[in-house]
Amino acid sequence: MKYPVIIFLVLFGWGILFGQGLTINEFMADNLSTVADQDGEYDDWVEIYNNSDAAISLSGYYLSDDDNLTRWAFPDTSIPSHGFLIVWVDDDVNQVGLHTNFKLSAYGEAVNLSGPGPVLVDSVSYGPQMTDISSGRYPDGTGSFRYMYPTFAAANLGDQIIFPDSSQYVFNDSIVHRFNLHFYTPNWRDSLKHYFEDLDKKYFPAQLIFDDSIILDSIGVRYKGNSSYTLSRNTPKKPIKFNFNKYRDSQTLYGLHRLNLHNSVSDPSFMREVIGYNIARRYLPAPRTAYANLYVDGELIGLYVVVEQIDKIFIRRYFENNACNLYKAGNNGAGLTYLGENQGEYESLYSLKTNEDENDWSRFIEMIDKLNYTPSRNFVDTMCKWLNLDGCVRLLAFNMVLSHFDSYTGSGRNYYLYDDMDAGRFNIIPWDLNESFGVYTGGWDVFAQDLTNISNLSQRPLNRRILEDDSLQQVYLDYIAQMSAGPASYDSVAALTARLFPLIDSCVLADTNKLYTYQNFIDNIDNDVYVDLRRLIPGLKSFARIRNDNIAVQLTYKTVFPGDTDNNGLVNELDILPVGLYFLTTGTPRFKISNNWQPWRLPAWDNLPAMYADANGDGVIDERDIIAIGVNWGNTHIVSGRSFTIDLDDSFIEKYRGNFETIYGSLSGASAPIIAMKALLDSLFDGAFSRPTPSIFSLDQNYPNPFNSETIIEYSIPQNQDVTIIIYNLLGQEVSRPVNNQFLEAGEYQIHLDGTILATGIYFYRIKTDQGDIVRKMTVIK
Amino acid sequence: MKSFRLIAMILILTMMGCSKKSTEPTSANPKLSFAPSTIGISSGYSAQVRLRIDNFSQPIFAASFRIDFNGSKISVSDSLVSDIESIFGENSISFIRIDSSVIHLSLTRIQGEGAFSGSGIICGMILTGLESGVCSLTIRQTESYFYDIDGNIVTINNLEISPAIVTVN
Repeated sequence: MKYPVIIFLVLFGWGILFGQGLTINEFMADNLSTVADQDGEYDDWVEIYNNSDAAISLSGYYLSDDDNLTRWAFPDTSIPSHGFLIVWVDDDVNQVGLHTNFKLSAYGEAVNLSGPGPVLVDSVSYGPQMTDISSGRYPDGTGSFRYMYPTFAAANLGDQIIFPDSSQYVFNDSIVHRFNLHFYTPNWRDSLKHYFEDLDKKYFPAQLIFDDSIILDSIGVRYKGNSSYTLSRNTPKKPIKFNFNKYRDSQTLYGLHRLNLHNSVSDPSFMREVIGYNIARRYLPAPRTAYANLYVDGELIGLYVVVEQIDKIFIRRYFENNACNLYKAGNNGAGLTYLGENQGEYESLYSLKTNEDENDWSRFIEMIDKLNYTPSRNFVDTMCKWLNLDGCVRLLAFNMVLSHFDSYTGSGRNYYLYDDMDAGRFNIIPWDLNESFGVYTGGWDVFAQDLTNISNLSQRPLNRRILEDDSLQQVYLDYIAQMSAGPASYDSVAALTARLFPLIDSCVLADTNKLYTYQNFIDNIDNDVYVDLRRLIPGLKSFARIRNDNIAVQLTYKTVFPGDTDNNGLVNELDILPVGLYFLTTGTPRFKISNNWQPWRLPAWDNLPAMYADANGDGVIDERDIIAIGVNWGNTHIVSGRSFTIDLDDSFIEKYRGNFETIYGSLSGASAPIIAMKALLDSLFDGAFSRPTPSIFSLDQNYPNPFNSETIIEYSIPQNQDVTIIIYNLLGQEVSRPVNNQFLEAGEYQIHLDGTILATGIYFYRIKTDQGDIVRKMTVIK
Repeated sequence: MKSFRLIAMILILTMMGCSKKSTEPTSANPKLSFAPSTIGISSGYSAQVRLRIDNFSQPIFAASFRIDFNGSKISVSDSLVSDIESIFGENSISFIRIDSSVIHLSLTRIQGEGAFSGSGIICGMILTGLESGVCSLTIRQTESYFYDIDGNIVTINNLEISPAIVTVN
């Protein structure tokens, strides 16, 4: 077959010229996570190899990616004999080291090495590159280019070569493919409809010619989809599925058993699935896509998005063992909530796509049980043995950045779970992105949906558990930041639309069965459009700009753990201090009032320390914030941001003495936490607070009574006030005033009364305070 | 006989007219109330009143209240009575703050302890008479919260809340 050969040559280079021992030996045009430069950036790179027995100076040599052979000049450096030199092709010349003024395209272009003149020394033209996979010569310096695991600045090894499957040809997204069907009956439209609607989605036979070169007799064809079918049911252009080995067991299309043709319902731009899966593949197992015109007997039906089927063939690309169970979420919403041990309960919400004969759901049920009921403190350790947690975090981030809410995150639909039993973990796979970029709202604000405060978490235990865990939430936010600034950024989305537009523009124009107008297509790339009775479809680029701006703001939010009011990472007696200091201070409430121990994010208050003191998140600091201290006593977390542990230096505590005293007085009880808190406060003021505070205003009977020379009078006042104690004789005459309008703090007091100044007889002693008077009688006997 | 019946009637009427001391509520609904429910104190003198719950079938771990009182007739001590066997146990955190004529009150157990269900005393407070007259301690129904062991608000269905009537002589 000629086409694969041509594609092979395009992929792996042509017109390779040798000169002076220098060659382009390896390059990586889609570096996501393999090797970082000295600034920690994962950029494209090219490796130059000196295949000679002598060192070669690179002075006068150049690198370029176009006809301008002198685009970037090497500095005065050299490569030793049989040595390797890395050049970062990152359009960042200000960085220290070898950094060019251009970048490589992951979709394919050329790299040229030129010598003095300039004279072309070596060149490679390449096609689409895979993420984190390099293309390198094997053997070094002389061999042809092969896909391989990168051997950065080192010899290329044979065992690092990988062999992409030929199905890559079907998903070559630099051309618009042709699928030409021939049905064996003239009433194929009626038949397809009947087979789909009345015969439970049964396949109908047809012949397929792919790209005018591959002929497959008797493939299975049927309509597919739910809402995508319903919304296009009365149009000629419905979503379609091919089954290549439906009627002939060993028949495939470049190794593929099935293929999906999506009609871009709800997507006037025709680009949502292509761009969405392009981003998703960087982080998750996700389908490949391409464009194709579909014909029936030469009559154009329309432009379709070709989407890879998630089946064993797909699984084999990502997992060593593709024979395990693959589950798909159903159309009624599948939240991964625990439904008991009855398999039937799960079969109504999920479908098993592989190993249907064995029909063993036991591991699936057990995974869901653990997902829902593993205690928080054990969650990561336990669930990392059952779930690819990092993949789950990535999917949540992906769904939130692209506002893909017709997904697990929102509707509970459109995802797969593969039980990779070799690793012992379930892996989540996204599906059906035609309503990404904010088309499906689910009642949420697609432009400003809060990243952590999600209203349906009680029905989405996977997301809830991720967001409740401090470490997982931070990983999630890091992925959000990475996606939003990288492949999902406005610039990246704009670049993708700029590449796709010329590819499909004429096809969209020629597609007379498309679901929206050509003007909708043009407009929706940049801006919102309204279709189908005023249904808003956000523009791809406008959405990317608005959503990423909103995400940037949200990423500045602060994280509060209820009860850790000083944000020092521990809930203890110190946390009572901010509650007292900022009592009745108000600010922005959190999305949800809660004392639950989990990271809660919100915009920073003007009074930032007070924000942490609002333990329950109701927007006011009051006695209710104590609850979180008790509920979460002893809990710890990783501190993000500043701590506001109160600096107990003299000037501060004196300035806030009243506040501290009020706090001291507000705390009641003899529990260990109270004792610790009071001891802390008391220590600030040299024990001034620890004087016992009675609860009753009282004047006790003196003792001894009667008395001769001395008696003791005890009294107690429950609050600070002026006190006077007067001794009267029977005639009501004042004979003594042991305490004369003295301001005393709340507490218990004693007076030792000298009886030698009193004659035998009966006397009265009176205490006068703001709370009133109390009088008692005493007797002196000489 | 006639005089005997008269005396008996007088006695019965007198017993009915006496101030009722607080007794255990007879309804099965959960209740939040004061004990005693009517309090008489002399100006300048103090008395203790206890806040209590009854018939709580749902376990509670913490609670917060706001209680109104007439600050010109009575004052409320800003510390709770210490020798009370509270339903929140010995190892609780209690917070009381008097703000003009409102009592801000929160009590919580600490993590690691179980929750409480049933009937018992929440706390005791000291009231001091200031000026003659009748006033009440009124628990704000919409600002009374009970929390479970995770700090979530618990809805107490059919909760009956009763004030305390304070007479200052």
